[in-house]
Amino acid sequence: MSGLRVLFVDDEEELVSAVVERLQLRGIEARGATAGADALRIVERESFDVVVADVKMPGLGGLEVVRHIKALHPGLQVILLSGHGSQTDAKEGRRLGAFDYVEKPIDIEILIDILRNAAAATEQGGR
Amino acid sequence: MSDSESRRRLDESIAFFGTIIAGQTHEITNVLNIISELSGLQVDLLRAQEQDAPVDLPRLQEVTTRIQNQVHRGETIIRNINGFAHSADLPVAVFDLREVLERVLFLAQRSARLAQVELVSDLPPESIVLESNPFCVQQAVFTCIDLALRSASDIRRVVVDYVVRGDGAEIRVTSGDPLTQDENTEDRLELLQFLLESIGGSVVKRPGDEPAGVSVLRIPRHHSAESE
Repeated sequence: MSGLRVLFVDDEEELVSAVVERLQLRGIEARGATAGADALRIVERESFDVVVADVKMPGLGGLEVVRHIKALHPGLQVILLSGHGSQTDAKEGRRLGAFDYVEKPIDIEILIDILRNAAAATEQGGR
Repeated sequence: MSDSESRRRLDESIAFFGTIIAGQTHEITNVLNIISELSGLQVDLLRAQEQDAPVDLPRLQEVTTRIQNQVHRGETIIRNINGFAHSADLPVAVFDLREVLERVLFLAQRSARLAQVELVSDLPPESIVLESNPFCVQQAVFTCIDLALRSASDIRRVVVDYVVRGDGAEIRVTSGDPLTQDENTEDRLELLQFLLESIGGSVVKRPGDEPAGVSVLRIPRHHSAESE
């Protein structure tokens, strides 16, 4: 898993910090952002394999993040995250090009499996 | 008031109750998710150390403190939900307006954060005890805050304060941005009028009046249940 670069985006700073630390302990190059707009600025400057973004955030939510990223960086995979179990958001995210959808509370091992699958899909040239 | 009008007002109160409870349960879920991740991090740290290095106690202690902070955050949310839920127990109760407004401000912070608006409490130290319907007061103030949040454009700052005036209090919700009308605005202003009249108060100033963005609600010190 080493070498996998992940940007984790959620408006709860403590959640971002904890998940980023847990991913880093597993050898993943993870960093965090607490707003959708910040995430878009970061992906312009730095290279990532996967962005994980919460659906419901102030300002740019996860669906808008997917829309922007897919328009500007079609090869960058996005995984949506939600605490609300909304199938509507999951479907809409898929339609916009999100790779997958993860519900909170996060199971770190499941998240890592999905990150691995997303990175593999990128290497194979799509979803 | 007609049966259909009564039903509509009841539905609006239930919807307000639902909005608050739904928002706060999301907040509790956030707290639990963070605690879940931080406790997972503690396990990760212990596992990382168990092979060759000694346990990093300061690091574990720091994570424990972060968990405790989230527990305190959860307790504060629950205390406010509990107070809010009990505010509907009686049609008339004796309460401290300052405490009720602090609770409304706390409960409205989630909506403000999602709307990217700074919701500020500027409550005076002077306390006033009212005999009125606290649920109704909360709904009226929340309605004003909600109108302000929906209208937020440039300034994105809403301040809530009150003054003790005559035999009652005037609550002021001041937005830096003028009220913008949408298809629900008139209904909300009507609701505001109804809520204030039902507790013997009045809307001294609607947020659409000049100067723009300011609501002033007058609440009398005493209101009997018989007049409901």
